[in-house]
Amino acid sequence: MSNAMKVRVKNKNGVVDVKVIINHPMENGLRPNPQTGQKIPAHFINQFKILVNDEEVLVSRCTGGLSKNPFYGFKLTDVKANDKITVSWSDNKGQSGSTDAVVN
Amino acid sequence: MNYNRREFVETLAIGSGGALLAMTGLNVANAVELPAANGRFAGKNVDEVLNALGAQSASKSADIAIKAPEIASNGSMVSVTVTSNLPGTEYIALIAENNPHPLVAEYYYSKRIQPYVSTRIKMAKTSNVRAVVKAGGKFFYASREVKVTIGGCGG
Repeated sequence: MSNAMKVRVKNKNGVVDVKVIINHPMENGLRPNPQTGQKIPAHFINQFKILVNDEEVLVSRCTGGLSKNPFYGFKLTDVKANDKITVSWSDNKGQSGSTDAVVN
Repeated sequence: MNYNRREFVETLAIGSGGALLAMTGLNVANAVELPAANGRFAGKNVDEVLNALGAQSASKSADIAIKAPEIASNGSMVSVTVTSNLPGTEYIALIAENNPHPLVAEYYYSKRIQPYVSTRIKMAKTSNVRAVVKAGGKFFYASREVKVTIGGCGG
């Protein structure tokens, strides 16, 4: 499972920066394999969510139009110290990943 | 099709943020959920995508800031940051106009997160990057040209 992801959470005067990097090939299904010339099957993250204390604050749909190993930066407000931030994703092959972080 | 989606979004807003809506008048819900995609990602050009979003009549806004490089030497990794200063922003869509499938990603915001996104996208060739924003029930957009030296969509 390509479940490796990094989540960094930083509280700056009440605005919480959330930075995420997910290890994922993000194949859009259009790219040919250089050896065989056949197209590499699509494999990309199509859903991404951020939850604060298990409440969804951001939901997103994405495509293979995002770069390989996608990076995300978001800014949360109305978040207190020790709140739990959960970042989760799932892809078009049914794989998924999730990581928790606690606000400092 | 568009009507269905709009109706759905409105139901959502009323369902999850009705009380808040009544108090503040801001059309941003506390928690968010994904409405149906209605094939918007299958759109092959900007017009098809805008139609699927119901955003054909989006007006240009100076309150949407797009940060992107003027020249991207590598189209497979173009950093794009979008900030909306429109009050009541609930939705941002990222569109790379000349990509085979222009709609790259879309984000639904609750009131607990700033209408801001920073990410990296693929671009097939030189084109405008367009951000479509929904705020207070209306669509707005801004765009910015990125010159791409080597395309990053394959094919």
